[in-house]
Amino acid sequence: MVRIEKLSKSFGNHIVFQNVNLELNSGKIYGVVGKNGAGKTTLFNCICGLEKYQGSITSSEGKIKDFTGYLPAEPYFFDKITGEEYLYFMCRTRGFKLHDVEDKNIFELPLKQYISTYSTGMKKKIALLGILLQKNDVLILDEPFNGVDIGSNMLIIQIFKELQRLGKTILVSSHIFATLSEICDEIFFLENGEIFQKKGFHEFLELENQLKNDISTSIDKIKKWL
Amino acid sequence: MILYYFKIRGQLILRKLQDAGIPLLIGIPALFVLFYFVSEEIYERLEFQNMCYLYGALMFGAVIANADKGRQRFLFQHYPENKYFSLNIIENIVLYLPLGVYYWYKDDWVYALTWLCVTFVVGMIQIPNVNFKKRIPTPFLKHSLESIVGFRKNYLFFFLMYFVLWQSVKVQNLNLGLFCLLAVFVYCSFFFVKSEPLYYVWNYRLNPNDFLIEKLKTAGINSLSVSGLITIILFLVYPAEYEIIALGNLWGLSVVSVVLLSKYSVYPSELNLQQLFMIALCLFFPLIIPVLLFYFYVQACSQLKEIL
Repeated sequence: MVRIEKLSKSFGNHIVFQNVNLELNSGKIYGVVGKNGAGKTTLFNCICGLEKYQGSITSSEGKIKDFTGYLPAEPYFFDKITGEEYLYFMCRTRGFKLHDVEDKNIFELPLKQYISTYSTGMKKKIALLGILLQKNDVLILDEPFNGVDIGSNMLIIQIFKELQRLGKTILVSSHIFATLSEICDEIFFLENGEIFQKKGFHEFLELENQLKNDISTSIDKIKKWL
Repeated sequence: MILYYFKIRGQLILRKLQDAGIPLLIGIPALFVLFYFVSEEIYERLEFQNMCYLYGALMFGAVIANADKGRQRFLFQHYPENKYFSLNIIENIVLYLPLGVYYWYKDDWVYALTWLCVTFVVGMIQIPNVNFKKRIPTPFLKHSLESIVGFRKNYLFFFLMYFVLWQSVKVQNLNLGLFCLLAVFVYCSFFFVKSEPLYYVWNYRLNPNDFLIEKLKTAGINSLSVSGLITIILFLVYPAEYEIIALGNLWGLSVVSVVLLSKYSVYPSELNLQQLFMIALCLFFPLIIPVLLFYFYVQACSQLKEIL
């Protein structure tokens, strides 16, 4: 379990979020939604320890980064590295060697090719495969469905369900509300520096309606000049 | 239009120097002075012919790097065709200038003109949009990303060094052979100059000490795997000089270690002028290497504590 208490983060005078309290339990999938720039990625970076923060993030299992897999929204890859080499590297960082890489290539990626030749979706898939191979207990996934084809999206959803069954904790952000509502046990809504809603499954529809209401002003505006 | 492009390019270079902590008024003249003295030093130690091979290869590498596909496509998209080619040619000539001036200074017009023609022709060619999907094999461990990337981007340099080594064997010039050995180590150390994104270090489930040992071990094995052929040939051709060849290897491994540790001593920031100066010192005064290794190691452990 990961416990987040009084988490605050600011860049200079700009407060990204303050006094965030969350509890992430084993075998649960949590969604994070919010507008662009609401602080989702910063929140993920703080949990992973990639950003400094105020407050406390603890786990009964030990050092969070040692059992957490993080999929950044825009994964960075070295130029002239093949998919296979990247996967070897990811496993090596966790202290074990990768064997039978082709058997584990669930997304059927061209592993012998440079990642720089991959499409956006393929890059997302190789990054996701890397953290799956690490066998982490906690997965923090920033926009895992972006740019990925429909078939792979369905596969990713099934993978999440399987990981949930195995007792893993998943924290996922996405702008595709339908997908989040399908897989998540709870959805956190990040706005104005606060997580002000923690919706259970039965309340997702209410949250969706609220999001629709939020955009209605913009729709009215665009109707005037379009 | 072209003028504005060069103004932007100039600003980018100045920003890079400023980011590296190099004061512009001192930094730019210092680069020219450094180029002159390093050239003179190499000129003293190598025959002019061999120096021409080396500098020619370096300049050609710079011109080819400048012909980077992404950059070329961007320019081709935004500039009319004639201006696009003019840009390329002018940039290549700017890259060629230090070499050209040096050849002129040494009264070698043939090389000066040959390389000027090469830069001109390369500027006239539009590099085709080829997606190289086949990987270049490397002799390195599969997880050592920095070495793999470094080798694939610069493999021609290693072939050039093997060629120069062959020349050194042919003319029985041990110094030239040793130069190849040291150059390969110095080049390998360049693989570790640039800081990798934080994510790539964060992923390691190791404490700073174990992380650094793992990195040093991998860097050492990889460097030896490209320098090994040179070492073996030198041992076979000059068996009586085994001590100096072994020392060369020790020096090379130490330089690679110093550069690697210096990178993590300021990580995740990039190396600044202070570290670069210390690295330069260790190239010329090998006796300070143990001190630098210890200093950078302590600093690196402290920097990595927060990340690992």
